[in-house]
Amino acid sequence: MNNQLALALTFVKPAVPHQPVPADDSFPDSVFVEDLAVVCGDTVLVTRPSALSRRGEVSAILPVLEELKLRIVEMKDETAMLEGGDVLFTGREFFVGLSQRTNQRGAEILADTFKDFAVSTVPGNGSLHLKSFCSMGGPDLLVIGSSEHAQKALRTMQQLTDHHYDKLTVPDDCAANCLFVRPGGKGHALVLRSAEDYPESIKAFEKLKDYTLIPTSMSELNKVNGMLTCCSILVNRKLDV
Amino acid sequence: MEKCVNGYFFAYFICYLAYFLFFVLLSDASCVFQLATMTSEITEKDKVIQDGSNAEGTVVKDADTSESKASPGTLTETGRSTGTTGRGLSRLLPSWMRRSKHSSKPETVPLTKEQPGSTEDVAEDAVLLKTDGPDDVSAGEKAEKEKCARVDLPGAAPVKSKVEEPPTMGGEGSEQDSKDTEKTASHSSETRIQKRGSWREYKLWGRKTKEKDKEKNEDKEETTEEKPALEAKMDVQEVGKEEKRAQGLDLRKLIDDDLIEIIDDVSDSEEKPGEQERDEDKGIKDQVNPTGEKEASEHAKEETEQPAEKEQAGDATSGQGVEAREPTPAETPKGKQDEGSTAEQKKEGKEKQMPGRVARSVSRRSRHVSCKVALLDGTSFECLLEKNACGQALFDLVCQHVNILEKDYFGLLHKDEAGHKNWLDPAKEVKKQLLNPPWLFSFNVKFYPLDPAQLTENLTRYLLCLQLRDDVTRGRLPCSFVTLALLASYTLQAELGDWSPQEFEGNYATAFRLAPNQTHELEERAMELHRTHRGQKPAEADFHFLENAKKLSMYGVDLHHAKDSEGTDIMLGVCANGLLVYRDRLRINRFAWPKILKISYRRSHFYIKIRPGEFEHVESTIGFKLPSHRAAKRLWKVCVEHHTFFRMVEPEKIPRGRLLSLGSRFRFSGRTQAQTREASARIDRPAPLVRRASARVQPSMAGSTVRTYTAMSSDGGAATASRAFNTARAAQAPAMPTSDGEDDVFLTPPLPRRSGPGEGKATSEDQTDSSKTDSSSSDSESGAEHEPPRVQMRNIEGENIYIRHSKLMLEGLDKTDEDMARRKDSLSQLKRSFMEDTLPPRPNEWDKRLSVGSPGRPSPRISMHGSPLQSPLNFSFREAPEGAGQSGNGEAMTTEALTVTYQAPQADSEDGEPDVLMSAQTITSESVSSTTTTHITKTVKGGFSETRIQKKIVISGDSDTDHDQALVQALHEATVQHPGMAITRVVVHKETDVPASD
Repeated sequence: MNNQLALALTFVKPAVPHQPVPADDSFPDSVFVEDLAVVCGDTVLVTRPSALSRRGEVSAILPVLEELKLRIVEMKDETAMLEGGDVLFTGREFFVGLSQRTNQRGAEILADTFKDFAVSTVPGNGSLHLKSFCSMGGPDLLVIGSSEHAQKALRTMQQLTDHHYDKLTVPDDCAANCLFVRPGGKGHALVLRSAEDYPESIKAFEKLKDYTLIPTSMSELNKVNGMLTCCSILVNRKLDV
Repeated sequence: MEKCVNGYFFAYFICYLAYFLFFVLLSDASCVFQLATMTSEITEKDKVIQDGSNAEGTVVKDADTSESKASPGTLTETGRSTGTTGRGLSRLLPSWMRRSKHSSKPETVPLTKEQPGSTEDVAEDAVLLKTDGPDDVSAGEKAEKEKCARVDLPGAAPVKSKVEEPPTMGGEGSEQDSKDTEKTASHSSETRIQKRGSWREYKLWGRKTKEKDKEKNEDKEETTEEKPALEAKMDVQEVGKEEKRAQGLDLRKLIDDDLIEIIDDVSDSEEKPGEQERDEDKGIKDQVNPTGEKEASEHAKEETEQPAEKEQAGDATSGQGVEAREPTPAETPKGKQDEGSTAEQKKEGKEKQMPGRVARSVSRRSRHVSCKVALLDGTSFECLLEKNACGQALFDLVCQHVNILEKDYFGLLHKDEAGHKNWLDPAKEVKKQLLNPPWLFSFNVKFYPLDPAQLTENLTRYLLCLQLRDDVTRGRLPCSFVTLALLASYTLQAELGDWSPQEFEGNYATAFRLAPNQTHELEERAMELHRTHRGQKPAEADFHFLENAKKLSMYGVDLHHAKDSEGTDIMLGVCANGLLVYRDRLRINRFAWPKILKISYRRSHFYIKIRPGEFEHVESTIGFKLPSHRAAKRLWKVCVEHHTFFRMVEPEKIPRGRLLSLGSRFRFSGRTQAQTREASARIDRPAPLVRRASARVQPSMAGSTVRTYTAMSSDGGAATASRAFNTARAAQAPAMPTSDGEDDVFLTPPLPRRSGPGEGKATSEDQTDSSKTDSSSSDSESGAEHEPPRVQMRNIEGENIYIRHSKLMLEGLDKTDEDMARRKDSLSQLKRSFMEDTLPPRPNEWDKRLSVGSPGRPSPRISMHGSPLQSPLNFSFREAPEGAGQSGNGEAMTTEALTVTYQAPQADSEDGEPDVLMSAQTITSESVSSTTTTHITKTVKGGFSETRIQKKIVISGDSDTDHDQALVQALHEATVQHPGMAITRVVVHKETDVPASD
């Protein structure tokens, strides 16, 4: 009932295939469901994407979330902006990248929703999402790109945290966006960009011990600057279906 | 002549400047806390100011300039740059100039202000002089000359007279006014002023009088000036003499405390010139209506401020004097005493003149002040405290009442007038820290342990739980709904016990305050979870509560409102790891302790100097603006304390002994976490009863309940002695002691002695302690010799393994009935303490440490001493068979236990009036095959004191060991060791381990 279990709760995020969201052609960015909601524990914060065109997506995803029996918190504040792509949950705390699509108020609401965790803000990455150059590659393992702004953000995060995270630096920023899963609750698996996309970065990932690497080609999405995690919302729920 | 006068005045000016600079330095320094790991130069600050620039927070330079614009009392920029020259100048000045500098002060002060100024008035004066320019200089000088002429007239009148003098100058609203009207003020007011000037001079220069005497002949013109000063001094001394006699030893202490206070408060007084002025204006207005009483109280008020400030000035200037001239050692303490006596006298005067503060004066007569401390469980504790007592004394009383040993995590909070909470400094007198008579405190957790599991006692954990529950319900510790419900469910479990359908109907959780906004949904959820905690003991529930609470992001974060350089509202959070910066609940920056080189505060600014990191190469200083100077000081103190407690091995020594020391004398005076852990590892007492708010019906204590404390040893001698226990029903069968058992031998003196007032007293406790240790160690050694070498798996031959002491309530007999009653209470607590269950087996921190410390040592075992009273409860030891595979699995064994009790007919401690425990100590010694626990209790019963020695000898071994013989031998040894005592009771408890079948 203590540490171990708590860790398990936060980290065992089985790759529940997100439920299919009804296709709707009016939402061009609708594959990027990540931006729409932040799930932690059994609470989900439904975000307010900055682009008006995406607000409608939120209402589309709500029924799915309800089905998962999550406590749903919606952002009501008109001034708040938050996109899930700017929210990095490390298992111990949140980092929120303040970008053109996420503002201070949005981060505040996130902090209000998940009061148990420290929410730290990582300033200014321009138009980029925080998670476009970093992600969690496992418990306490931060995968980070090697570009200047990625490294700067890393330093900020290191400064802001009370915890120690291992870091894995990969040559390509985009490759740093990977998806850590534990199929069946055991073993470490990493869904990452395929070798065709980023041949250098995959070498860095291969240094990880005891990891199952699942390369995924995302050449189509890449055209619209899509990231791997963008297409998923991680939910820690058993699927009753 | 004019030139001369000008030069004279110039000298004044320079000197004032020097003083002021000095105070600036002092105040500067007073708030600098050097983090232990780095270099420490105050002067370094200057450097930092230049290169300090950082993205976050104020750059110091900005702060400084804005300050100097803002407040009139600021001379900082110039002050710093010329500080050294100023001081150097004073050293270079010819002696007459130096002297004139001294004597100048009293005259010039009344020049600008009617009210007897404090040091900050001096500082202000300096500023005024500076800004007003040469015109005022001559005017002021004129006035001064006038005064000089009148100097001898008044003579040294009793101090009181000046207070009672009718107010003569009305309507001066401001300093300017007072300055202008100065020249036209009536003679009597002049007199008063002059006298005050002399007084001040004495206060400031009391130590210098000898020097002045010598110099008298050099410059006769100025002797007129000096005379009144000396006279005043004589006067004061005379008045002070009686006080001195009365005060006796207190005096010395007072002086010390004063000094500390002074150094700390330099910047305090600098803080709010505006406020002071307002006060003074009010004072002046009050004088207009000649209500003597009010005036008196006003004066009294001022005077209370005066001594401290004057002394501070005296201290500071004497420090300068050190540079100019080394004071002889004999002279210095005398000066100090004088100061002390006058300070004391002033205070006495104040008391007399304060009809409004009845409570205080009443308490003064009784020499005690009543204190009320709100405890964590909602009750309050009241006590009488000696008025001069330090914070520590009160804290100790409270801790004693709460019965807590791991007290270093706690502290006493008191609210000041503005409603801000301050920690009571244990090293300082209580009365110095709060002014208003009702002494109200609250007992709170000061340092939240990062890992509550490492606390030794359940009671400590329970108190921490109470604090956290309060933090949660008051919103200081925000947590999500899920966590709230979980924490609430543990609270329910701890307070109510196991859920059962019969007992708990309806919404029983409503009775508890569980959350800031308690909703029905939350209660439902909490009750739901409560059911899942079935079987958890209260202590376990507390443990889980803490394990969940400690992970919350705001756990143990002490928040302070502040503003950053851009004026944005932020919060500064002090925690175990460092300083956190929040903006609207979002963490925007964090400074870990290792990153911080220095923390300081000046006025309402708080500065941290950051160690250069990987990427920036210069130290940077970041400033924050706090709402007030006090807030800055409070934050600074909290930082110093947290840093010391969590990061240092031992607290920094408080700088002492130097007359002049730059920097605050405030240091964290308590124990650090490292020390407190060490200390709590040594705690060896039965777990104190945790009295829960909702006292549950304790399970009835059957006479034959035997708790078996299992000492388990893990392989390789790594001690995992843990407190596994089985509650076994022991058959009270009349069996003879046979093999493989354990023997309890109780020794009681044959005749109770009359208890004298000084008997069995704490004075000799330590000696008793050590001697007992010796005896018991020799005891076990001899035991080892006598016994034939037994087959044992331990790796070291018979010698003392370790000896632990515990002192329980070592008290004097000169206690009040109330105390006795409390003792009794705690005794029954002890008795019941074993009903409070311990946690499931888990390696004990201290044992781990111990075993690391001496690798070759056989595994230490839990030493359990029995209940101090001979209760039907027997505590027995079970020796688990040693060997591999045993560790951590005590419950797998079934135990056959057999208890035989022999009791001498005359000894009957069970009935009759209850005993009062005076002292108890337990000594444990261990040898190869036996463990001897000697428990000595002194009790008072019906006017007789009784010393009871309880020996527990645990003999362990294989079944082929002859336990009968061992028992006989042990009994023999015991009687030999304690001649004059009779054995009244022998309990033989035999236990055989039967490996579980299958």
